[in-house]
Amino acid sequence: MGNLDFNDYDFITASTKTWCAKKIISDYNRFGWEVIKEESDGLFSNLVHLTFRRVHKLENKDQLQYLQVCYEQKINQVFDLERNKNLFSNLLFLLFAIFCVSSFGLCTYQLIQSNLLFGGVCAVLGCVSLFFIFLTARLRKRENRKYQLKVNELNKDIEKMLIDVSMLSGEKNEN
Amino acid sequence: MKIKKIGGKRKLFNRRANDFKAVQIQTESGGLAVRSLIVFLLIGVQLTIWICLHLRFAMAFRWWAIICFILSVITCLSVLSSNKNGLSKAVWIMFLLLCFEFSVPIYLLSDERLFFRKAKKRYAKIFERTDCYSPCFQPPKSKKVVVNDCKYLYGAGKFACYSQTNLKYFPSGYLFYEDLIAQIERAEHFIFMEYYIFSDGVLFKRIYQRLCEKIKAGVEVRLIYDDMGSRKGLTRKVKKQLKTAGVKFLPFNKLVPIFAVGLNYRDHRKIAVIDGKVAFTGGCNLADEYINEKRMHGYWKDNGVKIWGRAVDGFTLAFLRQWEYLSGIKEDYTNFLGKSLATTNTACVVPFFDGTEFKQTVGKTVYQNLISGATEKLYIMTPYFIPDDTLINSLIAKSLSGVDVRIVIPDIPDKNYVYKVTKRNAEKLVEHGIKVYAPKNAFVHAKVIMSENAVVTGSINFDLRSFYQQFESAVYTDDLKFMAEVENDFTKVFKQEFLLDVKSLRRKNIFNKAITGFLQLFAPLM
Repeated sequence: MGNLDFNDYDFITASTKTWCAKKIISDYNRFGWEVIKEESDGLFSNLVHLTFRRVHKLENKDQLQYLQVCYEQKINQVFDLERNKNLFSNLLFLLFAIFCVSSFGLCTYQLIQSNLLFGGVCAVLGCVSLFFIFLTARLRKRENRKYQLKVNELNKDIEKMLIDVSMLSGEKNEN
Repeated sequence: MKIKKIGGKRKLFNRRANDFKAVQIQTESGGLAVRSLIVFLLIGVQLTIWICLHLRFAMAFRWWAIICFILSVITCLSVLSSNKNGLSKAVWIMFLLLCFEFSVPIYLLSDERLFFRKAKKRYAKIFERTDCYSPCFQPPKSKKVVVNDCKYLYGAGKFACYSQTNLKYFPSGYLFYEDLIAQIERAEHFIFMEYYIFSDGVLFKRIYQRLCEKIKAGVEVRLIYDDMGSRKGLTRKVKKQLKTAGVKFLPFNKLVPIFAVGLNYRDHRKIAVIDGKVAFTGGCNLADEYINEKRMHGYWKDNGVKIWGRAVDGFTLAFLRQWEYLSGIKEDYTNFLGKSLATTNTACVVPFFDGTEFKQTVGKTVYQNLISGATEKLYIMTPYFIPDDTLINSLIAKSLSGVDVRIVIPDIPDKNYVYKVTKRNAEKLVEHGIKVYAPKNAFVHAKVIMSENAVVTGSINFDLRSFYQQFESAVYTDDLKFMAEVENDFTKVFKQEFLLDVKSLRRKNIFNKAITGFLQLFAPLM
């Protein structure tokens, strides 16, 4: 950022995932930022670095700065929810799946060894774990419903925030 | 504007940042502070050698351990009779008795009666020499409570009560620095700046450009910076630039690799004086995060005050005294004082300062007086809430007697260990009906306290470091217009969604409680 005009403009660099870069650019435009550079990350293929600039002297700049921080926090929250929405059910599925495969595997081995009792017990355990695997599917549905409710709420908040931002920017234009 | 794209070639094995956030603002970090790391390492080595030697001696010679114990008991008696606050006394006594083999020399190195004696003598000489520049006390035409506060301030440090002074409140660092930069552009004679943190960045570049232009036009520029606070931001390269440009600058309490708890005494003041006509103070240091152009700890909520009129002399005098202490050069202050134009405002304005050069804990007492004098409302905004028991009990007593007491603390902290203690203290207040607010996604750095009688704002945090160890600056006023501006700033934060309840403040598990209890031991240092 060597030769940038710091007296008339403010500059920031935001790092984001490639699939949501367009949305970030469009939302940041509402805060008064215009993108001047788009650069891929040298290490990660799904990361991009966006450099924005904005006029330094702005009406309602404090409110815009505060709303921007709140907006970033909400967007990151949505992203975290998306990433972790099925974490618990996935973990349970994995555990029960391993247990199920081990049980049936052991059952097969015991049957080959003509150890019917132990083989039978393993088969029962395998079936029980299969049942729990089907339960995790129901848990997954519940998690998705919960996630959807939270995300809808967050998206409403984000929309409301962006409306406030437009109003603040609109007030600046009128002035 | 042409968008510059640098496309990356698709690699055979693409690494993906799966745990990266949706959007993250990059911040340029300051210098590595290698110098301070080396200093602290050397101090750590000295301390370790000192403790090991003492322990070895105590193990080898039984009589040495007995002598150390007797000395530590005697030192405990000395601590009890000292002017330290109750919490500090308790912590020191515990340390002296538990670690009696090596604690006495460490205590002696920290005692300002010993360590700061020479410095205090120097300050006393400077104050004696420059006493003629302090105006006499003139009681303001105001409420009795305000008159008493002004009398105290004059008695404690000869802080004169001025009238014919206007003030303007800035509820953010951006607005504050816009005005400061505009005033720098109009400077004709001198610019004085004293900050805890000077940090290279966008804001510094903007101000530095203007300072260079002014120096070419014959304006004298002096800067005082705290060596500890500015260790990252003010690199050798920047200091060389300043020197080349002709800026005179001096460090306060240089970081030296010698163990002495005196390193803890910092210049936390934030003062700017331009031509003796306009002065600025408040919570903002000279760094990008204070104007939210560097993202640290969410939204940075800060404040500032502009003063123009007769009271500017108070700031000029304080700066010149500090400059004389650091440079050792005596000069005639009349070249810098009496330059301001009197205004028609009749409200009282008292610029005041705190530091080890004063016998009184001025900042704490002013806060205490403001709390005691409140009968209707009491609002406090502070980044750290670590007062001693007397202040906490005063606040609780006020709340129980019907005064509307409200406190604003950060939602996002800058130091987690300090925040734990802040929340613990806030919990004690909320239990007694005091409202505590924490604006979402914000780090509150402003330091303001107001009642229906007066308001104080400046650099004084509501914690023991500011009360007992640091050099601070603030302004006390009963100007109604100014108080309305401050109250307006508070009102924007008093939203239901920002209100904290006991449940949100309560520590969740026993481990957390143990950590907070342990951290309370270090409250005097926080």
